[in-house]
Order: sequence, then structure tokens, then C-alpha cells
Amino acid sequence: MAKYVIRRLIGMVPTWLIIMFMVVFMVRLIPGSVVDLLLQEQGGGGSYQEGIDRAAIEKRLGLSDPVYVQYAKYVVGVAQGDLGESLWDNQPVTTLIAQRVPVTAQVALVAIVTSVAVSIPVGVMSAVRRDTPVDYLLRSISILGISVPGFAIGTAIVIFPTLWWGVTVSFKYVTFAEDPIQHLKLIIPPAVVLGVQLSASVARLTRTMMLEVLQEDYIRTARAKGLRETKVIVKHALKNALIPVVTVLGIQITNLIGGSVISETIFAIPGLGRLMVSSITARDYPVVQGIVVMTAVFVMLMNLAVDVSYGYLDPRARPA
Amino acid sequence: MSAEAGIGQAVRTGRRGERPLGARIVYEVSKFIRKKPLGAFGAVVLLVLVGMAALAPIITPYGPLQQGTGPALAPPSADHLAGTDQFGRDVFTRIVYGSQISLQVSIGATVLAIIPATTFGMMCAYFRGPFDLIFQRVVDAFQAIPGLILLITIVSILGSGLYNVILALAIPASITGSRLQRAASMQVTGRDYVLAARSLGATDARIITRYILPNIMAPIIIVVSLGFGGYILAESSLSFLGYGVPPPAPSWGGMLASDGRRYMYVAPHMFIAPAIALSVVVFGVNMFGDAMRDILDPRLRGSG
Amino acid sequence: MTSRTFESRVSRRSVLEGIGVGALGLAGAALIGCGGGGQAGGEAGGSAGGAAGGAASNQPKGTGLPLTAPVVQGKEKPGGTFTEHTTSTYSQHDPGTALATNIWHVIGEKGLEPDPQTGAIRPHVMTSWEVADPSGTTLVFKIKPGIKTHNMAPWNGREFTAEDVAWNLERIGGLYAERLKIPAASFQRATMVANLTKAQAVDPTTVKVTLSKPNSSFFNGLMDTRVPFAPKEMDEIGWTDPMKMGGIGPFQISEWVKDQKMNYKKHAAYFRPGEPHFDNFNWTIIPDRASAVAAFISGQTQMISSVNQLEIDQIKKAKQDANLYQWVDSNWHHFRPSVEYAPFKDLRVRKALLLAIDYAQIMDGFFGSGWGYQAALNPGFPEGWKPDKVKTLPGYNPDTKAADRAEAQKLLAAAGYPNGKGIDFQIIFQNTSGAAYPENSQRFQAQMSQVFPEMKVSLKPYADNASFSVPQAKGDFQMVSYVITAAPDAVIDMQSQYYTGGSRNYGHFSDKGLDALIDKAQAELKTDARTALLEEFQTKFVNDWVPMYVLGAQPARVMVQGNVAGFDTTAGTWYGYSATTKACRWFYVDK
Repeated sequence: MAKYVIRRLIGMVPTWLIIMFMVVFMVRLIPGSVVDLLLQEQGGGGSYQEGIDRAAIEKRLGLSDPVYVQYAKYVVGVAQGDLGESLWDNQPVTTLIAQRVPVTAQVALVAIVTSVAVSIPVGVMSAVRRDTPVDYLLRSISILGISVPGFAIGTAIVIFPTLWWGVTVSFKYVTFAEDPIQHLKLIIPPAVVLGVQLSASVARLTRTMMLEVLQEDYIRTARAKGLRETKVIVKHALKNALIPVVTVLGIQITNLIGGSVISETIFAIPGLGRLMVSSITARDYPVVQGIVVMTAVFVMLMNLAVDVSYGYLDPRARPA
Repeated sequence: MSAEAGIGQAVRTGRRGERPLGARIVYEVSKFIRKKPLGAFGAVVLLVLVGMAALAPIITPYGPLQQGTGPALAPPSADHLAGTDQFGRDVFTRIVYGSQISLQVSIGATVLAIIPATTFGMMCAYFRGPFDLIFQRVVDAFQAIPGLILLITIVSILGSGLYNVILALAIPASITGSRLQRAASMQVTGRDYVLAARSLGATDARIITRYILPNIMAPIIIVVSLGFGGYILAESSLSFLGYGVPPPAPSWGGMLASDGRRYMYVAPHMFIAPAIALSVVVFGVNMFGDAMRDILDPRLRGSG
Repeated sequence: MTSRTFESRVSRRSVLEGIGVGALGLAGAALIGCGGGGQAGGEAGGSAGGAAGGAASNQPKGTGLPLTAPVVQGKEKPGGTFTEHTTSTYSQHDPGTALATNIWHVIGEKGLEPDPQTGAIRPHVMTSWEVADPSGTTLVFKIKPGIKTHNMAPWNGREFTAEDVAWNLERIGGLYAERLKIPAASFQRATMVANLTKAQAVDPTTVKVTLSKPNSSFFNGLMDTRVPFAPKEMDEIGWTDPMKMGGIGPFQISEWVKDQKMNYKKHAAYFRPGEPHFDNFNWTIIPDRASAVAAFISGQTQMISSVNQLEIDQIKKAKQDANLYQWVDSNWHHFRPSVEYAPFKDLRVRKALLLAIDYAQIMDGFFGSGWGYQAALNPGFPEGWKPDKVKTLPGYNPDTKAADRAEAQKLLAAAGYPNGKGIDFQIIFQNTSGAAYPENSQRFQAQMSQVFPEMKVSLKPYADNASFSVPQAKGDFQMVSYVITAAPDAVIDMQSQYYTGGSRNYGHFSDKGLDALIDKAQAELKTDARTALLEEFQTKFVNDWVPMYVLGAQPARVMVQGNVAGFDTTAGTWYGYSATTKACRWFYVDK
């Protein structure tokens, strides 16, 4: 097993290099740079000398090297644990990310917990009662969750209570350490918005997997043995159906991190998604690079962890 | 068990029917409605969507960009079924014409994504070796970057505009989507008939197009039908962040995310009307996709 | 130059008074000689004291511009926390190089302050300002004695003196660029202190400034909120950590978490007596507009700026006691043609568009009421034509729209573009949700297709400021839709917008006569002669040059909770020029 993990970790190195390559080049391909923003009001000329002043600012920000040199320097930096500094406020990228990770992690965790709590029973019910009104109703509700844009649900949560009762969610973020109750109150609405969308896909997958598993021979055997239907479903079918569901949850975490920007914006939660989007808008290359690289590392390690645990859950899937 | 069997069965079912073609269609359709009422609802939604897009100028007397068709921000009335917006444009008209954009986005992104995804997937499965190895690392890379972030970056690089948004939606999907097609192709490449064709000296191109592609159609159709709604939704998320199809185009996402939200206090119809249109269509498309999968995915056949 | 009095609608006398006040400033000083300056400082200082005292300053001195500023009555409830929202924490902390609002707008202070309604110079950190030699190249400023820095290391409340001021002036002017290894072009506000070659402290309360040539805009430039003063140790401390920054402003930093909050506490030794009233002045970060409105209605914030008519209606419904403050703002909206595009080189074409645009339809469409007609100069400038006058000019006059459009047709035909045939251009703008420019562009496009059926106008939105900045700065466009915040001086504004090579002259407009006129105005220290030059500028702007289509000055609308008083003393066109530090003049009342 240890050998397998090591092999997988080594296998990740090229992927990391590709990700760093992609992000370093892609952010620089976006038209307009920090330098353009800084020089925006010098546009027409005057005492400003396009070539000279631009070069001076690029040099100061470390953007004067050719892109491949910047890439090489970045890879070397990352290997040494140095993600660079923000081009705007000179904060170390690691500090900026460290501030945001707990926030996004908590929102994501609450979103996953709620969505699992809702979607797995829904998916199972739906499969067991396939093509009956119960199935239609449950599926309709869960699919509705991915049919309404998250920002529309979020806006509705903020606006309607304001219109009707003059109250709404609090926009003053506090950390868990400062005030645990208030913190949870702040975290729940954005987590619900994310969770609703997550549950739709999880419920759908659970249903499919359950349908598949329910046709397997061992389920027929279990039923033939006269086991109670509930027991068959919970003990035999669900356990096996959930394995791919767990994998998908792992993959969905990537999207939770990206998709969280919408609810973070509406509910004024200072998470990773907002930092990411505002850094793209501000062309703050090191911050964008840092978040993408850290997210990718996290996602890949998660996937590895899922695969390893998979082996324990299902001996057939254990790697040779 | 396999997709190939599914196709074969579908063909056989067709042959078995002794009734004339028209009656057979009626029979199949009514069976679909009975068996999959939600899927049938989805199909109706899709038909209505296509109808709206095709017949827009007949359905509504106004143009989608025509300003001053009535007073600005007027609530729904007989003349303006979904009210008017801040330019006095007819919101219903914009929704009707918006269906063209939604269709362009979803069909465009689907086609642009599925063709390379299938090509890459088949090639990886068929040739294996270093190409597959390197390409799979690229897929890993795309999968490890949050989707929305990737979209924003690509739209930023390409610039605003309907076609750039379509392209931006298609690019990541064409890479990550290849993994599923690769898995499906892998099952097929090991089959006897592929090995036989190869030993008979068929070219790689012929094997891929004649033997592999037809046999992975089922997963392709499933992916297409399930992804369709996702693109419409993704466009609206991009609109919320300011990267969607730009004004004055009547994109539902844009109508909802920028104008609708801005005016929702005084002109809630500007928020509600596109929200309903968008949600119903995405809902319908998803339901249709689910039904297609239930029918086409051989692993699910037999039960129910 | 000083007289910030407006042509008065109220009475002839206030106009005369205005001219009288004018004699106290730059022109006056130059003419009267040395005595004037000191006297001016003394007198004006007295009136500022009165303003701080209360009711005396509540009466607008007849600005000629509409102003809604309800006076909140009630017994003061000292202290408390005042909360506002903004969309993100500030990302640049060096006021010399920052592009936008930054921490120094709260913790720093400017040398001089504009009267929010009249724009007249008021003493502030500087108590007097004068031209000290006949050539107009030596300026002398007196600094208010006893100004204390925030009580934090390394200053610990030390006195802020002429040495700090001299250091600030030279730094703003970019004189330290080389030493600090910051490119000179990064000193964004050097234009506010143009021609400065040296600033030195003569004694702890006197600063002497040497200019390379006269600059009639210098005093007005010091009213710009973008040139706040910091203590001179800041270069050693560095401009990266906001928590280490201390100034002389009414509030000092207490908490700063990126994208979450910027909290400040009262500076007890602030130099304006009795201020600030609040114990804490907090900023919560709420990026989404709909959420920000909800935050105000639910009482989580005490104030919300830039509210539109729709938001006002909604807020009024939910919060009957909230007050609306409204005035004609120093932000003006425009379409800027590029003269690189052949048809726009032709004055007849530029003029035809000026006549054809329905300004009211565009501005009413986005803002509803409350905006002001503007031709060349913002109506908030004492020299700027007022909306009433602009409204009577061809093109702007709604009553002659049909005739003006017929004339426009003739001009276009004469230029070789009948019905607009052969004119095909794109408008670039930033596609910011809730901003005016996307809507302005769409209305403009619809108008042109109606008036000139053969003209082709297309729209090119950019997703963000950075991508938009590239074609704008390069002049790679045919037309731009955007908004400009007026500098606190008409000549500075003209220079950056229209002078050949001006920093914001993105459309590359160039006219020798215009350049000569601006040069003359910059060197002209006599108020009335300078005003006459600006009058000439405005006339030629609409008749002979047409470098820009100014749509109008936007209405500024701020909603403040009903238990906050004192806001009326800060409302007016030039409110934006110290919006954040002016929070020190507001206070809670018992209701």
C-alpha cells in the first residue's frame, strides 16, 4: 500500500507541473495587466514615456522576464514553499490563502454534510420506488435544485426577508473563535445554497447506483433468503452504491471551491472563491497562481485518499 | 452489459415492429410518455424551446432590442405579457429571443466539447502509450482547477461575447469530458470484433470510426443530454460575475443576473420572468436527460 | 485662484460677496501683496470654526445647483459606532501611488478643504495659502499649530509640522521617485502639485514652495482627497501593513482584515475641536449591491451611497425615517470619440452627433431625476456653466431637439455621410453590472439608429477594468463610454482631458488653440481673467472643438439612517473630496 501511495505521489508531479504551466501562462494571456491598471491614467501621454515607465514598473513587480523564465522561477519558488507576494499589497500569498482556507472549508463542510443528509435518502427512495409518483416528486425537487441558478436562490434568501420583515442575514463576518453561534448563522445560508446544488447531483448519482446495484445477483440472493427489504437496501445495496458517490463527492469539492464565489459574494463571506475572482480581476498573478496550485494539490491528495480508502471499502478495488 | 448491446437491441426493436412507420412512432412516443412522464415533460419543454427560437418573429410583434415598446419598467399587461425593462423593451420578447441564445450556448458548447472529447477519448483508449499518459495528466490538471475559475479565466482571455462564452464553456469540457469517452472506448477496444478487424489489416482510422465510435454512442448521448442544461446554467453564473453574454443580447442569464437583480425591488417581473424561463428549461432538459439515460444505459435496463 | 463662489440664483449680493471672498485667495494675494494671505487665513479660519460649531454653515450660499440636505434635529448622543459598507478592502496603501481610495482617506488629512457646496477653499491643515512673489513661483503656507498624530508607535502623538507637509508635497510631486526606486509615472497625483520643484519648512508652522512656473491650480489641487498627508516616517515604515499606519485624521486604524472589515477608532487629539463624534467608524465589506441594500434596510449599516431611484423607493418603504441627501455630483458621464477614426476628425461629424444626442433621454433613463446638464466643465466648478444655461444650448435643449437633429442631418450630409452612411463605429465600455455606461451605450445606440438610419453603431463590452484599460489607454477605439470624477480645479480637469497628450486624453484630441488657452489659464493668477479664459473655453468647446460628448453630471444620492445628524453640513457637489474623513462631523441623536 505504501508503495502504491508513493507511486501515485510521484505520478502527480507531472500534473503539478502542467497545472503551474497552465496557470502561469493563462493569467498572463488575459488582456490587461497590473501595469496597464497602474498606468491607466497616464494613457494619453504627457510626461509619461510609454516604453521607459512601463519597463520600470514591470521590473519592479518582477514581470519583466520572459514568461518561461517567470514559470521556471515560480516552480523553483513553489518547490521551496514560496508562493510569492501579492502585486498590489505585497502580502505573502501563503498568508492570504491561510486566512481564507478555514472560511471556505467550513462552508464546504456544512454544504457537504447537509447535502449528503438530504440527497442520499432521496436517491435511495427514488431508486426503490423507481418510476412511481414518489420517484417523480423526489427527483423533481432535487433536479429543481440544479435548475435554479445559485445566485437567484441566494438573492432571494437575502432580499425577501428584507422586503417582508426588514431583517436579513448578517453581513458582518465573525470567525468561529470569536462567536461560534453567530459564525454558524453566517455560514449556513451560503452553505445551503451550495448544498442544494450539490445534493441534486449526489441524489441523482445515488439513484443510478442504487438501480444498478439492486439488479446485482447478491441482492437477489439476499432477497431470496427472505431478508427484510429495508435491511437488503441499507446493508447490502446502499453500501455498495455509495462507493462511487464518495468518489464524486471528492470531485465536487473542486467545484465547491470555485462555485463558492457566488454565495461568498452575496453573503459577504471572505472565502477563497472571492479572493480568487478578485485576484483575476486585479491581475494579481501570484495570488491566482497560488490559489490554483494549492487547490490542485488539495484536490489531488483528496482523490488519492479516496482511492486508498476505496481499497479498504471494497477489496476487489484494492490496487495490486 | 455494454453500450454496443444497447444499440443492437434498439435496432432489433425497430425491426421487430410490423406496424407502419407512423403507427410505430405513435406507439413509441406514447410508451415513452407512459413510462417516463418527467422525461416526456422535458421533451415538451425542449420542443417549446426550439419552437420559440424558430418562430420568435411570429410569436411576438416586438424586436428583442427594440426600446420604448411601452413605458419603462411597466408590470405585466396584455400588451406586455412579462412587463417591460428599463429601456421599455418587452421582457417576454426578450425571453422568446433569448431562447435562441440559450440554444446556441447549449448546442454550441455541447458540439464543440463532445467532438474533441470523443476524439481524444477514443485516441487515448486506442493508442495508449505516451500520448495517453501525457494527455491523462492534462485531464487531471483540468479537473483539479475549479471549473468556474477556469471559465472566468478563459472568457477573460477571449474577451466578452456570445461565441467566446460558448468557446470558453466548451474548452474545459472537451478535455475533462474525454475521460468518460476513453473509459467507454477502452471497453470496446478489447472486443473480439475490433481485434478481428485489426488482424484483417483495417486502418486505425477505419477501426476508430467504424467499430469504436458507433459502440460508444450511448454514453455520448447520455453525456450530451445531461450536460445541455449545465451550459445554460453556467452561462448565467458567468453573467452574475460579469463574464456572461454581454448586453444588449437577451441572454436569460444576463437578464436575470444583472438587470433582473438590479431592478428586482421595483420591477420584480424582470427577475421572475427570466428566472422561470431559465429554470423550467434547465429542469426540463435535465429530466429529459435522465430519461434518456434510463433508456440508453444498459446497466439500468431490465429493472422497472 | 480661489473664489469658489457660484453664480447665484439667490441674489446679486451673494455674487458680489463671492468676488469679495475671491480677493482673499491666490489672485488677491498676488495683487494685494504679502498682507492678504495671512488675513485670508485668519478670516477663513474663523468661518471654519463657525462651521464646526453648527447651524451657521447649514445655509447653502446659493450654489445655483439643486441640493437636498435635511437637517436632523435632536439631542446629540455622543459616541457610538458608525458602519458603512464598501465592496472590498483597499488594496494599495501608499497615497502617492494609489489609484483609488485608500486608508489615508480616513487616517490622513488634506492640506485644504473645499466647501462641499460652493467649492470655495477652506482652511484645514493649512490655515493660510498665498503667492509670495510677483512672478508667482513662490508659495507660502501656514500650518495649523498643535496638530497631533495618532497615538501609536513610532509617533506616539507627536506634533505634525511643516516638515511633514513639505515632505508630503515633494513626495506627491514624485520628487523622491529615484530615491524610493518607484517609477515616476507611478506618482498618480503629481498633477495636483504641478510645476513643484521644492518644498521646505521655514519654521515648524511655515512651508515655502518653489515652482518652476506659475500654477493657478495649485491651491485647488491641494483640496483633492487623493493627496492626503502622512507623517514623514512612513517611507521607513513601509506602505504594506495598514495596521502600522498612523496619520492625523479623525480616525485611526483598529482592525483590518482583507475583504472582511476595516475598522477605525476615534483619534482623541484630532485637530478640529469637538470632532469626531463617533467612537468607532467601521467598514464592512459587502461585495454584492442587492445585499448592501438589504444590509442598510436591516439596520446593519448607517449609510448607503450611490443609491438609485429604485433603491430609494424601496428603502423609503421599509425605513420611513431614513434621510435622503441629494446633489449634482462631480462625476460626469460621457462618450469620448477618437479623432484617429476618420469621420470623427471632421468637426461637422462631431458636431452633428452633439446636436443629435438626446441627453435627457439617456440621463433620465438611467438616473431618473436629479442629474445636471453639463457641456464642458462640471457645473460644480464656480466657472462651470450651470445646468439651466446648458439646457438652452443647441443640442442640449429638449425643446429644439427636432430642429437640432435636422441640422445634424445637414452637417453629416455636408461631410459626405448622408443619413450616417459610411460611419461605422464601436463603443467600448466596461460591462459593470449596475453601472451607467452599459445602459448609456445602449440608449445612444438606439438613438443613433433612429436619427441616422445608415449609421452603424456597435457595442464592445469588456468584462473588467484591466481589459478595458488596454484599448482605452492605447486609443484603440472609435468611442468610449465612461465616467470621470472632476478634479477639484477646472484647469487641471481640462488639461488631463483635452490637452494634446493629456493624461486622460484617450481620444487623442489635439488643437493648438485649445492647448494655448489651457497654458494661459494655468499661468493666469487673476481670478476674473482666469474665469474669462474658462468662459472662452466652454464656448469654443461646444462650437469649435467638440472633443467630447458630456452627457451630464450624475446625481449623487446618499441615504443615511434617521438617527444620524450632521450629514447636511457635508452634503454637496464636492462631498466626494473628503467623504471619508467627513464622518467625523456626523453624530447620533436621540430620537
